[in-house]
Amino acid sequence: MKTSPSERPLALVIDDEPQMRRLLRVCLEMNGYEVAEAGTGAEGAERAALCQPDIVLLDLGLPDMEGHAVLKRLREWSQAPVMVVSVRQREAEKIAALDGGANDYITKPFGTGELLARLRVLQRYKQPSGRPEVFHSGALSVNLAARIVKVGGEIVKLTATEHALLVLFVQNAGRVLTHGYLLREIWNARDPEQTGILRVYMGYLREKLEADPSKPQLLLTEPGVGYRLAMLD
Amino acid sequence: MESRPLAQYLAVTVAVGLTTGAAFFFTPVVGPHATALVFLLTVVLASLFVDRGPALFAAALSALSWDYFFLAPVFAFEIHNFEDDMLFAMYFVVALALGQLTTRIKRQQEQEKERERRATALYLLTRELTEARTVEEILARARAQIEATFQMGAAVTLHGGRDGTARTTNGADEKAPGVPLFNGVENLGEIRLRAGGGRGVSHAQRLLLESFAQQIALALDRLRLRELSEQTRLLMESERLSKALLDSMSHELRTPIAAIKSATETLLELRKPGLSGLQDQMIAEIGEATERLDHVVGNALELNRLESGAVKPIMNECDPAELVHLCCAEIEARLARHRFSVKVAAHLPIMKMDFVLTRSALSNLLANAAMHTPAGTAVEVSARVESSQFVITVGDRGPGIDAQLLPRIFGKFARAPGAPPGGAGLGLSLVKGFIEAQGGAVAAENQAGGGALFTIRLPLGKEAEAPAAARELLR
Repeated sequence: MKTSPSERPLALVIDDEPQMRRLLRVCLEMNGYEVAEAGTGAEGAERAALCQPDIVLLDLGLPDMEGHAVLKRLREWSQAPVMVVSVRQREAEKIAALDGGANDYITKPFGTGELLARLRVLQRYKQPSGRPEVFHSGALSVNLAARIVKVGGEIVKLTATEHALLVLFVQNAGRVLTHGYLLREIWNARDPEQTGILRVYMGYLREKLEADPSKPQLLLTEPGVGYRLAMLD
Repeated sequence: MESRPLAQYLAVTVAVGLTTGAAFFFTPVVGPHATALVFLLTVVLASLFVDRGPALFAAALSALSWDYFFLAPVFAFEIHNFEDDMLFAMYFVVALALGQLTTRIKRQQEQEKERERRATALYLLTRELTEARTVEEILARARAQIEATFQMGAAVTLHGGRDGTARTTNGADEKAPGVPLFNGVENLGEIRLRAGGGRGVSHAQRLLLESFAQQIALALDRLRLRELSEQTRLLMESERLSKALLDSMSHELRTPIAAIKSATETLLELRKPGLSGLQDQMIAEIGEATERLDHVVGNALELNRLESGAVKPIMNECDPAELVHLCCAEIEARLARHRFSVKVAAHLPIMKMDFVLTRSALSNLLANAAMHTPAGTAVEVSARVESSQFVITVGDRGPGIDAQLLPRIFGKFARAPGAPPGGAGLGLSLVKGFIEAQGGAVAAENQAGGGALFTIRLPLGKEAEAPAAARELLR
C-alpha cells in the first residue's frame, strides 16, 4: 500500500484551510507520519488514487463538493481509514459521515493528543494482523474463536444477543458504531429511532463487563451518535 | 322617460290630438273601424314611453276621441247601434290592457337597467379595489366610486385599527345614514353618505351601498391577508439567512480557534526542557483562553440556533441513568475538590428524550455548580421519577442565588453580581431552551439550608416502560 520508501504511514489531509493543513502537517510529521495535502474535494479524490494513503483526514466543508461526496467516491474503491475532521458538531452530520463509511469523526477544535490517539486506533484496525485471536482491552479479554469472554481472568456468561453485540464492538474496536448500524446488524431493525432495545442491552453488557457500570471505561457512549469500545492497554 | 308626469300627460294629449287630426283625412277612405286600430297603435306607442297614468289617460282619451269624432253619429258621444257599442267597449278594454302590459314591460326593463347599473357600479368598484395596494388607497378609491355612483358626498371610515386611530377619507357627516363594513367576522368601519340637496337614499340605493360595503370589507381583508403572507415570507427568508449566517459564522469562528488550539498543543509537545517556567505558563494561558473562547462561541451559536428555531429535538428512546452517569463522569474532574454525590434511583424506565440536548442542559448545570461554589462544599445530583416525570436536580451548598436575580435567572446575560468571570451568562438560558424544546420544564430555587437547587423535569411519555418489563419482552 505504501508508496513512500520509508516505513512511515502516509496521511492525506483534505482541508480547504491552508492554515489547518500546515498545522496538521507539523503535528502529523512530528508523530511519524508522511503527509500529503489537498485543498479541494476533487483534488483530494485524485490525490488519494495517486498516492494510496494509509489514512485520510477529511474536512466536510470543502469549496467544490461536500465532504460526504468525497467520502462516497473514496469508498467506491478504497478501504483506507477515513477520519472526518470538521467544525460541524451536529450529531446528524456525524451519523451521516459514519454511516457513509467514515471510520471516525472528530470536531474542530480538537486536542492533538486525542486526534493522534484516534489515528493510532484506526491504523491498528486497518491491519488484519493487528487483530489477534484474543482481544484485550483493560480487564476485558474476548476470544472470538472460542467464544470466551473474561473480565479480570473470570469467565463472564453472556446471552447470544449480548455476545453478538460485543463481538461487533470487538471487530470494530476503537470505532464509533452508530445506533442505526448496531440496530441493523444485531436486530435487523429498520428504524434507527428505536434505540430503546439497544440502550437496554448496553446496560446489560456494562453490568457484566464494567467495574463500575455507572462509569463505563470500556463501552463508551457517544452522545446522540452511538457507542465505542475503548482500546485500553 | 324620467320626465315629469304633467309633461307626459301633455305629450299623450298631443299624440292623440295629432292622430285625431290625421284621422280626419283617412277615415273617409278606410272607415271608422280601421281608424280605431290607428288610435290603438298610438296608445301602444305612447305607453312605451310614458308611465301608467298617462298611458291609461291616452287610452281613455283616444277612445272618447274616436267615438266623438269618427263613430256615427259624429260630433256626439252617443252610439246608436249595438255593434258600435260593443266595439267601443272592446276598444276601451284593449287600450287599457295594452297600456297596462306595455308599462309593465317598461318597468321590467327599467329594473333590468337598474340591476345592470348596480352590477356595473359593483364591477367598477371591485376593479378599483383590486388595484389598491394600501388601506389608504382602498378607502380613497372606494369613496370616489361611491360618490360617482350615488352622485353625493361620502365618507369611508375605519374603526380604530391596529394602530388604534380611526382612519377616514373625509370629515364624516354624523347625521347621515351609515352602512357598516362587515367582513363576516367583525365590523371594520362604515360608509356615510352625505345626502345633499334634500334627496334621501332609496331602498335600491341602500342595497347597492350595502353591496359596496361588503366589497370594501372583503378588499380590506384581502389586503390584510396579503400583508400577513408577505410577513411570513420575509420571516422565512430571514430564518434561511440566519441559518446560512450561523453556519458560516460557526465555520469562520471555529476554524481559527481550532488553529490556535492545535498550534498551542503542538507547541507544548515541542517544548524543550530548557524552556523557562514563564514561557510554559504563557503557553498554558493561551490554551486556557482558547478553551474559554471556544466555549463562549459554542454557547452563543447554540443560543442563536435555539432562538432561530433551528433546534429540533430528536426524541429517541434513552436510558436516563446512562445520561446522568455520563454527565457526572464528564464533570468529575472539575468537581474533584467538592463533595460530589450522585443519587440515581434504581430501575429508571427507558424513555423518549433528546439525549444530546438533555446532556447539554445537565452538563451546563453541573459546570455552573462547579463555577459558582467554593471548593469543599457539597454538590448533589439526583435523578428519579416523580408523577410521570423524569426529574433531575442539581443542588449545591454555595452562596445561593441572589433574590433579585432569581426571577430572571434563566434569561439571557443574567449574571449574579460578583460572579466569577468566565461566562457570558448564556449557559442557563441554553438549559431552559434545550429542556423546553422537548416539552420539559426547568426551575431554580434557594435551598432551605443555603445553596441553589436547579430542577429539570421531562415528561416520561406513554411509551416509558420499566427495564424489568423490557427484559421480559426481549428474552
